[in-house]
Amino acid sequence: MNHIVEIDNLRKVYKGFTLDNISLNIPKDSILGLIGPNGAGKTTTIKILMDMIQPQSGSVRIFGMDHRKNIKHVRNRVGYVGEEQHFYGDKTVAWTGKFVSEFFDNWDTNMFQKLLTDFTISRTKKTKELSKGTKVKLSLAIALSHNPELMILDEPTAGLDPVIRREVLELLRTFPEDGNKSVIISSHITDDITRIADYVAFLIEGKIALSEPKDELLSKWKRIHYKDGALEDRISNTLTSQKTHMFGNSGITMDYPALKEVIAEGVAREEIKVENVDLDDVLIALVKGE
Amino acid sequence: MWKIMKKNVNVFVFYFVFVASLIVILKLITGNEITTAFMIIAGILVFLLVFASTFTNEQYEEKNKGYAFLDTLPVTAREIVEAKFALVLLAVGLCVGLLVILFSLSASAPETIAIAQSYVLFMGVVCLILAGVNYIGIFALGYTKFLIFVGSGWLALGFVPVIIMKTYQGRMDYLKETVLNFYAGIDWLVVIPSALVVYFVLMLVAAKVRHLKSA
Repeated sequence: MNHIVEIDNLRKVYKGFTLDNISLNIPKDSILGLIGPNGAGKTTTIKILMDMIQPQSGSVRIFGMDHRKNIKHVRNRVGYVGEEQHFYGDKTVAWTGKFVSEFFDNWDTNMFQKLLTDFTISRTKKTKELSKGTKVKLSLAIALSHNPELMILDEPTAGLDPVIRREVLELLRTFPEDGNKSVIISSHITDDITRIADYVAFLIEGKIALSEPKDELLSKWKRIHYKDGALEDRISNTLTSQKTHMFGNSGITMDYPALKEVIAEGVAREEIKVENVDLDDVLIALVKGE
Repeated sequence: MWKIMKKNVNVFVFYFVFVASLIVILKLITGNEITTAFMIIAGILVFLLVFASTFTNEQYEEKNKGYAFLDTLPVTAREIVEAKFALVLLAVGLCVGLLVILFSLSASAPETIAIAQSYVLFMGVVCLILAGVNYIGIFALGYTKFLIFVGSGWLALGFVPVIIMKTYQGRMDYLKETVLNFYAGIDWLVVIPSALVVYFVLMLVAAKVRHLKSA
């Protein structure tokens, strides 16, 4: 089993929204960034993985097992941080830790205590008194304290201040280094995904628009700036997100290696410039579908 | 299951201690004989225990989005529902058990004791079934919406004694005899296992409803 998660043809229909034939495989020892605008289906997909929502069709295998038939086992090995954090508000952080610890086979109390200290979370505070950022950190501390093999995080950095956001991302980036561990993280903040992901999947209007290793994707997608007449029409017509401005024209190619040779002369004459794109550009190009 | 039960057990303990104290005080006031008033109040207290504790717990779950929290843990929807049902069963069992023992210690005639015991057992069975139905309603509609239905139901129930009095006007002795015969005639060796089976089926339905609602 080379994939820690195998998603096959997931379909979930809501009034006004359909998650349509989602198929994805997530390799071991990797971080998958699930990118998409709000309402694209990221949370629905993640909730299906956690069996909080049932799909109309399709299947999910996690750790090689049908996740619904083995949900207890799966949740035991998955660290989950949802887009909203729910705790019993009148209970303290210490109570919450003790309560959840009894459900997990591999709970590590020392690690939980260490994470509370590292994240500066007061043990005696009631969870309703915690800020949004601290609630996310508490969720993360719980998710990490039972030694999960897979972390599933739904927009964990939304609403966090930059310092905490960086801490959280750093923690996730190093998570697979222990071996055989993976992370699925959804976000519409592409910066976060760029920072940590090995693979990216773009979810647009309920469909997987693109799924590739991040570095491969960024090596193929480039913005081409060119002066009038510097690019043949057959090439410029293949560019997306085309713009014309006073300095010339630009557009994004999805297959730069195939163009590299063809435009080499233009680049040498400085009539054509090639610029790296970021995941934001890719997302916008996919959303606008230009 | 105990892991989930113990989260809710405090509320049940609070109401049980409250109800048990009231029963003991009532017993001290009414003396060694079983009176009709004691029986009726004891029955109401069983209702109070089950409904107040269940509704308090469910209000708490809704307020804190407790089910959303529990759904992130390695526990199935069915185990959560089982824990809820087990706690109600335990509370009803303890309360009815306490009353059955108290009645057996009274100085009333054996027939009166048997009828009183039969009455509280009957109330216990009714409470169990209603609690099961309540949970299905709560899982289907959510606590707040269901509370409106229950409130309307209780309001309607308030008219039942009036209707009975009106129907049996001038024949109250006949009514009393019919009711006493009903309690005396219940075969508990059949009714208790049957009630438990119904309760178990309601639990399965509640688990299914909760699972479907989460979809």
